[in-house]
Order: sequence, then structure tokens, then C-alpha cells
Amino acid sequence: MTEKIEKSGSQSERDGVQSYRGKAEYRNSDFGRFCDLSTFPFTRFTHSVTQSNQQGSSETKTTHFGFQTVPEEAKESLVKNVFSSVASSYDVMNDAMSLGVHRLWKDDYVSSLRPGRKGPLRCIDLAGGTGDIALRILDYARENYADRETSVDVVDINAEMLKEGYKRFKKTMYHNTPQVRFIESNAQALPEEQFPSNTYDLYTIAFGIRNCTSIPDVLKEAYRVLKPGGTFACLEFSKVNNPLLNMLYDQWSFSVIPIMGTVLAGDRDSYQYLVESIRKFPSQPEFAQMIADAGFATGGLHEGKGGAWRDLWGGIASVHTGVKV
Amino acid sequence: MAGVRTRLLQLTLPLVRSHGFTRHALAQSVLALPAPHPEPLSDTAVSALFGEGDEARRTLIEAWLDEGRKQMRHAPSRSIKDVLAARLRYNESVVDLLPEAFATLVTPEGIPFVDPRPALSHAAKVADEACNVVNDQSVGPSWYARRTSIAAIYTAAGVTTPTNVTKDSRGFP
Repeated sequence: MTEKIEKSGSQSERDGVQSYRGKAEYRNSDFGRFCDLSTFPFTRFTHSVTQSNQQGSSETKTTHFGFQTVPEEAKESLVKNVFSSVASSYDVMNDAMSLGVHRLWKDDYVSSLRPGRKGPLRCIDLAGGTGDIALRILDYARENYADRETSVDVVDINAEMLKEGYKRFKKTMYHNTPQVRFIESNAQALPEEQFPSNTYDLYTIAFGIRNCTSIPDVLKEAYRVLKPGGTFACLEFSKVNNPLLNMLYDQWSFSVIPIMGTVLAGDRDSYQYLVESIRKFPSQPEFAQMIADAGFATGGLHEGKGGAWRDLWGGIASVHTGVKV
Repeated sequence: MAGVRTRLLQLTLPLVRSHGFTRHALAQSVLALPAPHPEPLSDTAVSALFGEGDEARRTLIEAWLDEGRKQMRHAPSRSIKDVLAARLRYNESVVDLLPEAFATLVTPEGIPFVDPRPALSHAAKVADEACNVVNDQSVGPSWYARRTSIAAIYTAAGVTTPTNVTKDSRGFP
């Protein structure tokens, strides 16, 4: 885990969210350490973060962090900080922000995948920290197909989110069984010794891919770890096509949600980032093309039947799928 | 993007005779790839590529019908009779599967009545393809009249009511 961020160079602050210019140095206190389950509930696989020294360089690669532009190497840490901050109230806030609708979306998402229908699956859920997708997968397989062999590896870059997921699973029958594992790792660079190629039948990522610095890298890793014939499925906020609905959605997102973040979680800025990051995510056709460019076979470049994605609630969220052929 | 999906549909068509218009046939398609998969596609993968439930079967049926229209171009001569006969011959290998296939097309999910549009669309497309193959030069109202009459004849010949189709079907004007 990143122990300390040391930074130099100029730094600006806007509403409590820091942007970095110049040199940013990261120090890892752990590197590839296995953790005994009795003392530490999940396995951590970290990687050395690139140290860059591009003070005043005009060639500094930048990316978006919500509506801000930040150095590419800074985004991962900034996103980690956001989710460390929101982890303990993540599920409550999701209910408040979406008026509970996120549960319907996740139910639809998992049920459309039908895990367990034709036998046990080996699944990996990325950015799955709090475990709600993993739990839905296991419950669906058990309740519909009496499947107790399907397993899910819950992977998240953020230890705090994984802790919340571990706590959730301690209340279920899956705790301390081979059906679930919690692993701290980066979706853009899954260590091959822990995540060998051609391993998984199902790769899921729900409301997480937009927070990754490099979506193509995430897709590349997804393609690598899936078996031939394995399915990639991504649930993510997307672009609303209806102008009236879009207007109402924008009002809700930018006027209500940050205030909810202040009141319910005491953290306006993190929720401001979350709503801004939704607007920066590629549109449905663009993301579908990115999935195809990663090597996946998809449906046609359209929504709905036979298409590469399905819109939920007019495009507020979308489910994109692809198959490794 | 849709290239691999289309390729898999093409590989499934020869499997229709043995596996029917089923999701199982679609799953088996990857076994016929140049670099075959070790096992068929999972149910999740079939849904991701071709649609959920019967939607995948409709995708396969539509692909089979599209291939049938392409086969019309290989008729022995450029007469309407031979072109339509070629189309009927394409049905022969799966004639016993056709009633259920067309029933699947005309009964979309969630709608409690028969939707005749897929059947009408199929007949219209066959008629249009037949006219293209024979290089029909009709224009204006006769363009529509010619195609309508051919579609009606094709439908009456029993392709869309396959209980009347036999392996020796002939008799077009």
C-alpha cells in the first residue's frame, strides 16, 4: 500500500481536491507480500509505481480526474484516496444517490449473466471491493442452480474497500470457503503469478472501470486472464440519450449528490469526483469499440438485441459484454 | 467488431442439421474454428454474442435465412422458377425444423400474440432477391407488383407453412 506521498513542485487546491504539478514521488511499504488470512484478511499484490521526475516538463502525460486534468501517474493515488474516504459509507451512499436503483441494476447485471446455469464458473470481479457483485453471483448460482462450486476472486486496488467486502462476507455462508477470495491488486497490471492467463470463465467489473487510469490496459488484462470462450461484462454509468432525462440527471448529479456526500458521508469532494468521472467516461459506442479493440468478440455497434451493450434506465447505466474467442 | 460474431454464425449453419436452431448449436461453433476452442461456448458467452434466451435462436434463424438468399444466386439458370427452386432446395436438409423455426420468429418474447412481420419480411426479401438475380427491370408500380406476386407465390408454395414442403417441391410458374 502506498505509505506516503511526497510531492514537490507547484500544487493547486480546488475545493479540497489537490492537483499535482511537477514531481510526485510514491513509496510502497509492501511489495508482493502474501498475507496470512488469520492476521490479514486478503492477499495483496502490489507493484512498484513508476517514479517520474517531470518537473516543468511539457511532455508530462495527463489524464482526467473528474473535470480536472492531473498527471497520469497521480490519478491512481487520487482515486485510491477517494475510495479510502468513501469505503465505510459506500453502500449507504449508493442507496442514497441512486434511490436504491443501483440494486436493481446490479441484480439485472448478474441475472443476465446466469452464473452457474451450465456448471460452476471461475469468476473474477474487478473493482469489486465491497463484494456486492460477488455475493450476487454466488447467491444466484446457489439459489437457481444449487451450485456451490462457482467461485469469485474479488480484486480491488483499495484495501479499505476490500475490508468492507470482507466484513460483508463474514455474515454469509461463503466466509472461509473456497468460493471467495479477496485480493488487493491493480486491474491494469494483474500479476501473472497470481492471475495466470486463460484462467477465468467470467470477468465482471461494475462501476469501477471509469476510475482506472488506462481503460485499454484494464481490457487487455481482462482478455489475458479470461479463458477462450470466457465472457467480459462491464456495468458502468454511461451517456443518457434522452435530452430531458439527461437534464434531470445532470441536475440530480451535480446539485444533489455532492450535498448528500457532505451530509451523509462528510465528504463532498469525493462525491463531486464521482459524478464528474461519470461525465468523462466514453460513450457507449466508443467503449464498445475499445472492448472490440482489446480483442473481444462483441455484438453489433448498437444497443439492445444483438448489440454490444444494453442501456439501463435510458443510458444512465449500461452493460457492455464481450467474449474472448 | 461484428466480424467474429458473423464468422461464428457462419460456422453454426452446417450444425443446424444435427443440432437444430438452438443455443447449443451456437455454442458448438467455436469447435469449428481454425484454432478450435477446447470446449463449447458457455451459456453466458452465447447470450453475450447472440442474445438471451430465444433471441439467440432468432439470430441463428435470421442468419440461416440470409444464407438461403445467397444460395439463390447459384441457381442453374436465371429464371424465376429455378431461382425459387434453388431457395426451396436449401430448405430440404432442415425441413422438419422449419415449423418450429418460423414459430420462434413470429412469437417474440413478452408479446402474447403472433407477429406476422418476420414472415412477411422473409417472403419479401426472397422475392426481392429473386428479382435481383434474374435482373428484373421493372420500375414504378410494376416493381412492387412483381415482387408482391412472387412473394405471394413463394408463400403459397408452402415455405412459410413447411408442412406442405416436400423434398421434391416444384411447380413454379
